Amino acid sequence: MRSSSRTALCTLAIVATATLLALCFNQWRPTPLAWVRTEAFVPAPAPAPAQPSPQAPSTAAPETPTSPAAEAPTPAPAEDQTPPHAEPAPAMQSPAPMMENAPQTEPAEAQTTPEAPVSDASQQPQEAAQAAPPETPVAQETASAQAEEPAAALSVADALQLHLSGQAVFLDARDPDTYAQGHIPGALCVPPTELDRLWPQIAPHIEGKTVVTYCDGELCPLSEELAEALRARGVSTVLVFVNGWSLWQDEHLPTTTGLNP
Amino acid sequence: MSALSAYRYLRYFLAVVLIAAVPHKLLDPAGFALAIARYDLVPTAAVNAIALVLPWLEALLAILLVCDVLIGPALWLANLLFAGFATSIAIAMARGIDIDCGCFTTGTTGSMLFALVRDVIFLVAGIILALIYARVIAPSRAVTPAETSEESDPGESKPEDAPATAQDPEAPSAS
Repeated sequence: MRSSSRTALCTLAIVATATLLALCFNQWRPTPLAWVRTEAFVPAPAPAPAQPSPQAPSTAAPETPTSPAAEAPTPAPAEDQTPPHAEPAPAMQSPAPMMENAPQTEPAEAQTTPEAPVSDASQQPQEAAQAAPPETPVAQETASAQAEEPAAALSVADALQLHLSGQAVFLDARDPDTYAQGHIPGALCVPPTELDRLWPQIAPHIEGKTVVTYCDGELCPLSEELAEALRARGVSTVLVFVNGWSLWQDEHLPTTTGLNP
Repeated sequence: MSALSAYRYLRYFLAVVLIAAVPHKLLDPAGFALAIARYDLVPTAAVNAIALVLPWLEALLAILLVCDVLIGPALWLANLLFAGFATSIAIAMARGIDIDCGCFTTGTTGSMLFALVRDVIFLVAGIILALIYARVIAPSRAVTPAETSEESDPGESKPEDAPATAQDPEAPSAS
């Protein structure tokens, strides 16, 4: 046998052995991971912000879940990566199958904001869910869980509204270098790891205001971490602008460069 | 340092690196899958499979490196892995995605640049090891009687290892 083909064969054998070991180990685990992932990673935040954009953006994020619960007609695939201006119903449906399919893997991600910052945020959608009975019992179960999430997730329109109103302070959770290269005007650079150090400086800024945290990428954990840390410090109204920097740039909204003002 | 001792220490070094990367991936496949997904490079359907196989592959390679068994293929794979990691991190950095690299721990947000530099060092070590193996170790082993007796065709055994091992250093540059 040629040695090059022998090397290739051995390489394949190593990979096959690793796969076999992984297969056995995964079966042995109490909660095996599905080998082929059928549901998307992003829980509610990605599709959720799509909802308010066709409507008047003046209403805050908490409003968003009402219509899906009321309408909820068409089932959407779990991996539905809805474009920002898609039909509202599929956009909001997508979290539901996700929640039922992956209860043990992703809820930690999905419900990192169990305590909705705005008090009426979770009540409103729940009322709506009860008023308009969902089509399946599963949908009913997930409706309440689903309702909590978008409460903390912002659409671009909402974020812009908050930004223009001056009621909100934007906190950029990315690292200072990236922040310096470009950020939402007026945003303060607060990486989650630096919060303790920066707290005395930012505390006066955010007092009595809504705090909006953002970073970049739908799966970026930094804004969520920062929001959690802020809530732990007793900041009541913290909203997460998921994928904020990309969405902000996509809309060609003004940006600034440089370090903290 | 002689080539032989360099060969040994580099093998141990890479084995330790690979083993160190295993536990968190093995214990938290879901978390590691998420870390992979954050790179936004592989299709969502493939993420779990990668997250499940990768730690075992790394562990297996570490064992092969320590035991000095199937070093050619093992180095080929290890360099492919390191090159793949480095490329992924570089692509993520170029796209401005600021994520946890998922290399040795999950959940921490270290510097991407540090992860990249670290990975390139591993890759360089792997390439040097592959070169030493191809130039020094493999030829010396090819002529030992113990090796040749195991070959299917003794007449072909001597030139056999040369092209095979010459491939090793090429692997990372190709990917």
